[in-house]
Amino acid sequence: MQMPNSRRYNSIQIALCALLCANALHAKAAQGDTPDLMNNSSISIPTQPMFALNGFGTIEEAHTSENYGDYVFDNLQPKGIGRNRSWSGDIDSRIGLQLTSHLTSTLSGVLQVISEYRWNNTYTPFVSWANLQYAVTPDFSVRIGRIAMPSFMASDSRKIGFSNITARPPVEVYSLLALKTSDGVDTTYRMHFNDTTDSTTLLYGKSTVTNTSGVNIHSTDIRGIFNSLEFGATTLHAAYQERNVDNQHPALGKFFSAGINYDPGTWFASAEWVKVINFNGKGLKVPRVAWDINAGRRFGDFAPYVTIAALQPNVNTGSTPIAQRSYAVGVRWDLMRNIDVKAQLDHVQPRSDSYGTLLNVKKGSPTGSQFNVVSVVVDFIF
Amino acid sequence: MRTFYPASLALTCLMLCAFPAQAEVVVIVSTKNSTKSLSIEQVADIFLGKNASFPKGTRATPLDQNETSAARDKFYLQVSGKTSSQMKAHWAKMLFTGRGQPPVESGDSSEIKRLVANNPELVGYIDKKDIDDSVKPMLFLP
Repeated sequence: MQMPNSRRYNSIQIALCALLCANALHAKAAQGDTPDLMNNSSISIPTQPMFALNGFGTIEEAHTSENYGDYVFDNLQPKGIGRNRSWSGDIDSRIGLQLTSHLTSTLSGVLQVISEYRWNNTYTPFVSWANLQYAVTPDFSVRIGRIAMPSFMASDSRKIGFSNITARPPVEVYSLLALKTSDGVDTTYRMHFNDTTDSTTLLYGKSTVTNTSGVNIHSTDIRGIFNSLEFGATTLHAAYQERNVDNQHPALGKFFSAGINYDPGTWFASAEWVKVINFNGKGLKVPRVAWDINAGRRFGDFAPYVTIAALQPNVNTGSTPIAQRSYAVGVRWDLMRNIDVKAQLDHVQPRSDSYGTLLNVKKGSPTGSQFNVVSVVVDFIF
Repeated sequence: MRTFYPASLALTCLMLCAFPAQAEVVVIVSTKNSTKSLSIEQVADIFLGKNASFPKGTRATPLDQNETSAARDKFYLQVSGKTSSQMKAHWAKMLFTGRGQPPVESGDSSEIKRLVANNPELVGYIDKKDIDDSVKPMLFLP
């Protein structure tokens, strides 16, 4: 089914409208806060405003010449580019608004709402973060509410396009875990030794993900441990989580990841390895492994980069395997202080016996067909 | 890509010319603060939101100069290797993942000096030429 173009432009218009409204609100809030800030500073110390409204967004156009399946970010997107449409902005376009509140010096709250392309083919906004954080000490904090899980190295910030170098995280790696948030509790403890900071998060919660068939998949008893170690320009990240999930037999899903990021200023590089273990309907254990490597260099306001990513199943389930490798080149251009433009070319190689991560594949299509994806995105924050 | 390249070079030149080489920046705390010195990494951790304490464990609250200040761009480039747009991206990541907010913008060198002098919790950076007995220098950035 061909999507009418008007829907796409509507979503962009809505995004721009929201951006303008939020900017106006933001300016108003800032005006209201100024007297307080001045008062506080003359008495003791300048403090963060009690309420701050900020936002982020991405506007995208992406194209592929391939036409036997849909290239998507993950399988929670019902349509992509390829078979259904040759051009679309649905893969990465989104807008988010965040209200941050400093209730006291130790108690803060975050409420974040995002509008993006979802399982039901709409941009219906949803709550992505809603939590209260209590800082017991500057290095020990507890959060209660909806929390984005730091499963991948960039998973809690991957929707903030402006904070990332590439147009999108590698789909081979980041599509492996549909579970992005957890409703529950987490604690984070930071330790400092000399110039090294180690941060450990323990998380417990539950979550429901709706797939493109409208089926709710319930994850309960999500328990995770996430560690990040920073020294100088280097960050090491490791995560382990497991959960009970009601569409598997046995009802168990496991996730491991390890990553490194090095960003001293001019050159930058990162690598990530992920292993996911699930069980299919027949009780067969299905482990999958994915990895990516990214590197690039900044030339003033331009940052060209390359990415290689791969996904492979470790067991034959009898159905068409999902195995793919991709090579990407791109450039990020910091156009203004709060706006960037990125252009990225992906060359995607599904394995010879696979359609890779393509969805909605036409019956009888050849496996192993390589294709290219061109994407142009504009990211902004306000 | 090829057409972008001269533009990028021109921008790089503009950026370099925008920082006068003689403007030295000094990291300061109150004379009431017992901290003896801070390393460049310790300063970076405090200003990038990775640490909220001085080495002895008391709370450290960083103050930023206004966004238009040349001292600000120079300070971040020196301590973290990040340009103003990289700092913007850093704080976007911290803010929208609930990990923190950027230091409060609190004016120019003389205003920062006045605030820091009166409160042992604060840490700021000012032009070297503005330094006097009311504050304690922690780190000189060439």
